[in-house]
Amino acid sequence: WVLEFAFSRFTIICFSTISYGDSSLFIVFTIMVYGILLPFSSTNSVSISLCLVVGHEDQRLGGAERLTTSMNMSASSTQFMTSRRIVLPIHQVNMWANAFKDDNSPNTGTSTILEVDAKFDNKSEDTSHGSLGPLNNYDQEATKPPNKVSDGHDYIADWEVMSGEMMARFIPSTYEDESFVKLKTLRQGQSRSVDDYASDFCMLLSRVVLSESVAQRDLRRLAQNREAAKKSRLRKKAYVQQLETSRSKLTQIEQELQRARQQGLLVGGALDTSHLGFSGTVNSGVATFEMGYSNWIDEQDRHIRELRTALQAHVSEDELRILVDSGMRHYYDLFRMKADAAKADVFYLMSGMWKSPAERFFLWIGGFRPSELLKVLTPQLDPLSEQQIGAVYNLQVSSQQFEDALYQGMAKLQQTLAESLATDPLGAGNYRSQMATAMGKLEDLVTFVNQADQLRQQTLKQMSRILTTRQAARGLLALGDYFQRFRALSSLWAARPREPT
Amino acid sequence: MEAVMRLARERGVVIFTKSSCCMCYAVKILFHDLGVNPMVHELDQNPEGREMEKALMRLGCTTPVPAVFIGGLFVGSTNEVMSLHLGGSLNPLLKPYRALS
Repeated sequence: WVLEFAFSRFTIICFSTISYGDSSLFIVFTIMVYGILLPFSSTNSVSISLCLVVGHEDQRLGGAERLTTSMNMSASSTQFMTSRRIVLPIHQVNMWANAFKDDNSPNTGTSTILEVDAKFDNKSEDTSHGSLGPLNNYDQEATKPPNKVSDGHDYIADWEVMSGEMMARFIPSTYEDESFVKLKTLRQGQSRSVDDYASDFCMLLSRVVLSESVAQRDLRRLAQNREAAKKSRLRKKAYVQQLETSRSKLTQIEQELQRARQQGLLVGGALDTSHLGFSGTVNSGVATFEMGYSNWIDEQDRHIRELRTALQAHVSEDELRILVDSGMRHYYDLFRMKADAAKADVFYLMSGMWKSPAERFFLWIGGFRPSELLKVLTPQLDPLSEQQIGAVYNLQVSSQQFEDALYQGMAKLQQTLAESLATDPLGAGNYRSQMATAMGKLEDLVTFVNQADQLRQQTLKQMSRILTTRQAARGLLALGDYFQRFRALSSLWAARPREPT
Repeated sequence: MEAVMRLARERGVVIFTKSSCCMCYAVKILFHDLGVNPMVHELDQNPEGREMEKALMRLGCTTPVPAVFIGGLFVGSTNEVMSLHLGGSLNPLLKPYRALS
C-alpha cells in the first residue's frame, strides 16, 4: 500500500519509525526536513500530504513501531484541489494518541489515516512554527492543562478555527488573484459537462472576493481620470480646429463681400450669413460631435470587417458573443454622443448634416427610422424560428406605432411654433413673451430628438434579445454594411461626371 | 398626492399632461392608436396643478408630464411606456381597458 502510494506521486518519502515516546521530536524533525526540501519544489503550488498513519500493533511493522509518520512532497501542478479529503479534528487524533500512551496493550483496532492537504508557499519558516502546534500534544511529558499546548498557544478544538489558521498561513498571496483570473476565464469548453463547469464555478466563486478592493478601486479611478483627460484633450483639439476653419471661412466671405460690393450687387445692410451654413458662433459641442463621429465611423468600419471575417471563418459562439457585445456598445456610444450634441445644437442633428447625403434622404427625426430598418434587414437573418418571426413582427409594429405617435407630436410642435410666431405684427402683442413661448417649443424639440434616439436604441436592444448570438452577429454586420453602402453611394454620386454647364 | 392618486384610480388609463406639452400629445395619440381612451388631466388647467406636479416629480419622473397610470398604478413617463411597448408588455396591460368597438 505504501509503495503504491509513493510511486503514484513522484514523492520523496521520509519514513521513520521510532518508538512512540519520541514522536513529538520526530514530527518537529520531519517538519524541518520539509522546510529544507521545500525550496526545491518546482512551483508555488506544491501540495503536501501530511499523513499520519496511526496503526495498530502489527507483526509486519515490528513491535516497537506503533506510530509511522510519512510525509510526502509532490510537485504536482494541480491548480485546484479537486478532491477534498476528510480531515479529522486534531483533538480526536490526540485522543487516540492518549489511548496509546495509557494503554500499552496492542490492537486498539483502528487504523486511520489522517491527511491534511495544504498548499505551502515558500515561507518555510512558518512550518517549524507552532502552526501544527496541537500535534505537540503528543508530548509525553505533557502535564499541561488540556487547553494549552507546549508553546503556549491556545489549543484549537474547532475545525473552523483550524482551517482558518491553516488557510491564513499556507495559502500563497497570489491565490486570490489567480482564482479571480480563473473565474473570469472559466469556460465550459467542448468536453466538459455542465455539472463539472457549474461545480468548478461555485468552487472558484467561494474563493474569490468579488467586491472591489482598494487597489482595484484606485486602478479604476486612475483609468477614469485618464479617460476624462483624454476626452477633454479631444474636445480642445476639436475646438481649436473649428476656430481655424471659421477663421479661413471668414476671410473667404470678406473677400466675396468685397467683390460683390464692387460689382454693385449689394446695397448694404446686414449680410445674412446663415444660409451659408456659417452661424458666426463657434459651437464646440458640434465640433466635438463631428470629431467623435469621424472616429466612430473608423471604428465601425473595423467592427464590420471583424464581424465579416468571424462569420466567414465560423468562429465559436463565445468569440461571436464578444464581437456582438462590443458592436452593440459601439452603437450605445453613438447615441450618447448624439444626446450631447442635441443639447449643444438640436438643429444640427435634425438637419442630419453629420450624415452622408444619401443617408440624409432617409432622415427621420435626426436618424434612421427603426421600423423601416427592421423591414429591410430582417430577411437577412433567416432562418428564424416561428417564435422569433412573431417577436420581430411585433417589435416592428410596436416601433411603427410609437414612430407615428412621435411624428404626430412633432407635427403638433411645428403647428404651435408657427402659431406663436405668426401673430399680428401691427398688433399689441408682446414680442418678448411670444419669443419666450417659441423658445420653449424649441426645447421640446430637443425632447423629441432624444426620444427618437431612445426608440432607436431600445429597438436595437430588443432585437438583440430576440436573436441568437449568431443571428445578432449577422444582423449587426447587415446593419453596418447597409449604412456603409449609403456612404459609398454618396461618394460615388458626388464624384459622378456631370454635364458641363 | 392624494389628488393625483384619486384621479389615477378613476379610470383604467389616466394621463397627466400640460396643454403646452407636445410629447404629452404624442403619448395620447399612441394610446388612441392602441385602442384605449385615456382620461387626460391637464395640470395647467387644474387649480391644484402645481401641487400635483410636485407630487408627480416625487414619484420619480424627471419630467412631471406626461405621467401615465394604468389600473391605478404608476407606469412612468414616455420612456417607460416606450420600453413596455417595444417589449410587448403594454398591450396586455391595456387589454381590460380597451374601448368596446
